[in-house]
Formats: sequence, structure tokens, C-alpha cells
Amino acid sequence: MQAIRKKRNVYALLFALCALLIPCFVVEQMRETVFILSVAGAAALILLIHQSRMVYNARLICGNSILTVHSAVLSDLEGTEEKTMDETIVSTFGALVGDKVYKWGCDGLNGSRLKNIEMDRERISLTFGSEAQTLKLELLHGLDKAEKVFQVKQNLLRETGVEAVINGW
Amino acid sequence: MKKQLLDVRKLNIIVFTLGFTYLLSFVFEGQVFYRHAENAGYDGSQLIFAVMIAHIVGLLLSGFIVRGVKAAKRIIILSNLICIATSLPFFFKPGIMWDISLMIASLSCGFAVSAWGYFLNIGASGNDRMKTCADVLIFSNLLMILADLISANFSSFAALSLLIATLGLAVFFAKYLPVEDRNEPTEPQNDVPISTKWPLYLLCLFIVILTINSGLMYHVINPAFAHLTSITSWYWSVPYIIALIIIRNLRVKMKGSAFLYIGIGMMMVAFIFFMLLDRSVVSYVTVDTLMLGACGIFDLFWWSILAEILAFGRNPAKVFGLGLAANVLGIFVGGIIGTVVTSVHLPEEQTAVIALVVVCVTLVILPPLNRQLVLLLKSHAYLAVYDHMPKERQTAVMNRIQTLDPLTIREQEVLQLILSGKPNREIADVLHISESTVKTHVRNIFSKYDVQSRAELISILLKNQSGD
Repeated sequence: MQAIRKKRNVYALLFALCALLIPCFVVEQMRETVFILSVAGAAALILLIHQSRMVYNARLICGNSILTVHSAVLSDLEGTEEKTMDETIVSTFGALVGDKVYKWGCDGLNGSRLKNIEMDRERISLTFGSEAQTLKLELLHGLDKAEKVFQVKQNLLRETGVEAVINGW
Repeated sequence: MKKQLLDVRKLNIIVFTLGFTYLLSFVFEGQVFYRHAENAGYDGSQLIFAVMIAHIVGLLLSGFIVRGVKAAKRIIILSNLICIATSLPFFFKPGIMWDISLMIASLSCGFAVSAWGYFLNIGASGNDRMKTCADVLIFSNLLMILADLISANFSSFAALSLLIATLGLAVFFAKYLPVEDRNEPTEPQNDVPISTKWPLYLLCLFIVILTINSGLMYHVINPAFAHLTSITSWYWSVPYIIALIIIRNLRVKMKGSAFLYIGIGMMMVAFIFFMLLDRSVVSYVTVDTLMLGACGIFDLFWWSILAEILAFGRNPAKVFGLGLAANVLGIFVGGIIGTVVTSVHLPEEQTAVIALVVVCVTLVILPPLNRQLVLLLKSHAYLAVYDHMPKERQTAVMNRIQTLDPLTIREQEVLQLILSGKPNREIADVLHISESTVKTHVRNIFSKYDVQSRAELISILLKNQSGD
């Protein structure tokens, strides 16, 4: 979350800088510089808008957190894996893995949706995606009591409508 | 039972498009009429305001006479036949019969257009209704361009014959309009009346202010480019059609108030360009593109809101008639302002400045009015009905509505609060979640019910309720 916010602030700063400098160079009639700064400003603005959306989504995920763990493995259906030791938040509207946002259940029926949840003694795996792409997120949940596992299952069902399949408890 | 010729939505579009083409091309300040009158040495402009008043009367009276789908169908057929009959005197020398015919045709068109309100409700829901409105406006304007081109380059008699043929086809297709109403708004079973009064009145005020600009345009901008006959005969409506096509095909969530503000900006820039530019073809294309593009945005904006209100009214002809009468009234008021401004023979620059001031004043009023309208539609009359039901009934009604995908428990909680009329902020307070979380849940709920607004959600609910 911090990393996403930091990036957003950098883009905002860049955009502000360009916006401030452009009038100065316009007065000086330095056309080439104005052109370069305009392009840079426009690019910064686009990135700023994109990053602000990321911040919004990340905030939405953090605000509706169901489970927080400290490592994750992300894989697609072809088996390509990506491991991370960043803090991972699983929520009603997606997962925040470090500075990456994986959304589900945010855009109604057309967007990415949570499809399947499986939990065993060590891991929780979440399958999500749209018709075009399906991803699988595996986390070491760190839960040692059956009571806590079933509480997470209840929360997931209540918030996402997906009933977790529990094995080994 | 009659064999179904086409699906109801297509049939609706065809019938209304054909009738509307005649209205746009001939009766309602149509280019075919003006050319035909000019060729016959008849001053058509003297009757403009009387024709508008006759049309308003027809639109308003229809709501009181047409009760039910069968009556609406009969009125549509009869009105189109009357329009055919009243077009015949225009093949002869001008005289009093022209005046009388034009007035009767205008009145009949008002009846037919209002009655169509019943059919706009059938076979289309939600975004489909907006698309139906867009399709009607697009196709009728395309046919209008064709008629204008024929009258400008060939013969006004041929154009008039084409318009009579469109009326004949409208009668033919109208015979196949379904009379068993699958979607007819039903009287609520409880004691709380569903009032669409305030949203409708506010919308009418909104439409009047919005369309004053169109009236002004007819009298200030059009005469300034009257010498460019060849391009004005076909390009006039092209930006309007393009704007409609763009908005029609946008994703639902992009069709919001933002478009209204884009339209306002385009309208202002068009008037500024009108003041600054010369009267060449390029200037005409620039001004007309901005102006008519804005008109397309405005028209589809208020048509779609009107169609949404239509779903709740007990008498769609009355609701539709009132909305369209407000449109004609706006053009009427704009026309009067334009006539007054041009009649004092001020220099063209001063006329344009006065027109720009009027446009700016009307456009400044629009955003707060739009905000009020949105608030009213979101939380006013429709929601009161649900709020007055017993708790068990609320749950029963909610469970009867079929969703595309089951709601989660959290979404059910949010839905319960939406239906009791609570705004997002209050829902967030009750459920101890953030407002953006509520917004996301609301978006998901709408998607699962395949609706675009709270008002539409209540409409589905009420239909289920009446089936209890």
C-alpha cells in the first residue's frame, strides 16, 4: 500500500513540476522545451490517474480485509509461478500482494471474479479471473486453530459468496 | 392472434421512426415543408408558433385520452392516417387548406408521439430503452436527410410523396404492435402512491431550459448560413446523428452527467465560434458540428431519463407527452427570444452576443438542476413504496426478483438498505463500512439485476410485488 502511494506521489510531483515549469518556458518562448515538458506532463498525468486508481483499489482491499499473510505464490493455469514474500491482504474485492493489486468482485458480472477457494492445513488457494484469464493465488495462511479457519471460511462466504473447500481439518 | 412480424423493440423503432420522420421533415419546421412552401410562393414561417402550440396541445391531450395499450395503438394508426390525409392538400395550390392541414397534422403528430410512450415501455428495459430512443432519433434523422436532399435537388413533391409513404408504412407496421402488455406498469398493491410527479416536473423544467438553445439556434444561427444551401441540406443533422451513435454505443457506466457537461461546453464554444468566424462553409461545418453534436448529447440525455421515469408512471402517454411538450415549449421560448432579438435589426455581432448571453444563462442553470434531478430519481418517490412494507414482505419481494447471479449475504444487506431509500453514506454508517465499499457493492448489485439505477431496481421490485 505504501509503495503504491509513494509511486502516486512521485507522479503527482512530476506532473506538478511540469505544470509549473511550462508557463515559465512559455514566457521565455522556448518552444522545444515547452513541447518536451508538455509531453512529459501528459505522461505524468496519465500515470498519475492510473496510480490513483490503484491507490483507490488498494484502499478498498485493505478496508475490507479478511485475511493477512506474509508470503504468496501467484500462478496462472499454464503453471507459470511467481513467488513473493510481501505482505498479502485477501479481501472482499481482491488481493493486495506487495504493490500489486489483483481485483475480483469489483466490476459486477463482467469483471474478474473469485471462482474457487481451497484451504488445507498450510495453504489457502484462491482461483480468480475473468473469462479471458484465470489466476491462482496460494498463500501460507498461518492459521493453527480449526476455529479460526472456519471463521475465515464464514467471512469469505459472507463477503464473496464463494464457499471455501476445507481439506484436512 | 396475429403473427409476430418482428421483435417488439424493432417494431417500436420502425413505427416511431417512420412517424417521426414526417414530423421532423415536414410539420415541425421541416426543410421539406419550407422548400415546398417557398416553391409555391407561400410564407410558411408565419405559422411556426401556431404549429408548435397545436403540437403541444396534441402531446398533452393524448395523455388524457389514451388509456391502455390498445387505445395507444389505435391512436397511432389513426393519427398517421390523419397525417396522410392532411398532406394531400399540399399537392394543390396554397390557401387556407394548407394552414388548416398543417395545424391538424401537428395536433395528430402530438397524439401519435405521446401514445408511443406505451410501446417504449414494452420489449425494452434499462439500457435497451435508451438504445431504442437513440435508434429512433438516428434513423428518423437519416430519413429526414434523405427527404431534404430529394426536396433540395429533385422536387419537393417527390419529397412529400416519400413522407406520405413513410406514414403509410408506419400504419402498416403499427398494425403489428403487440397489445398484450407484458411490461405494463401496474397499480401498486399497497396504500402508498408511487408519485413520479416531482421528478417529472423537474425533468420538464430541465428539458425546457435545455432546448431553449435549440430554438435560439433555429432563429439566430441558421439564417446566418442560409446562403450555403447545398451543404445545409445534408450536413445539418450529420453531427447530431454521429453524437447519438457514439453515446448509444458507449459502455453503460460512461453514460453519466459528464456527457451533459461536455455538451454544455460544446454549445458555448459553438456560439463563441459563431461570433468569431466568418460565414464560410468551413465556419458552418465547425459551428454546426459543435452545436448539433451538443444537441444530440442533450436530446439523448433527457430522452433516456424520460424513458426511465416512464417505467414507473401509470400512464406512459401522459409522462411521455409531458416530457416532449416541454421540449417543444423550450424550442418555442427559444424561438420567441430569437425572433425578438432578430426583429430589432441589430448588427449580427450584437445579435450573436445576446444569443450567447442567453445560452450561458441557460447552461449555468443546468448543472444544479441536473444534480437535483439525479437526487430525486435516486431517492424520492419510488423508494417510499418499499419503505412502507412490512419487513417480512420486503424480504419476500426481494427474494422473488431473479438475479443473473446470487447475491452475497453482504450484498443482500446493502440491497435491503438501498430499497429503504438510504443513500450510500447512511448505508456505510449502518454497516460500519466505507462509502467506497458501499459503492462497489451497489455496482455489483446493479450488475446482478441487470439494471442501471436504483429507480430501475425499484421498478422490478414493484412488478414482483404486484404479482404477489
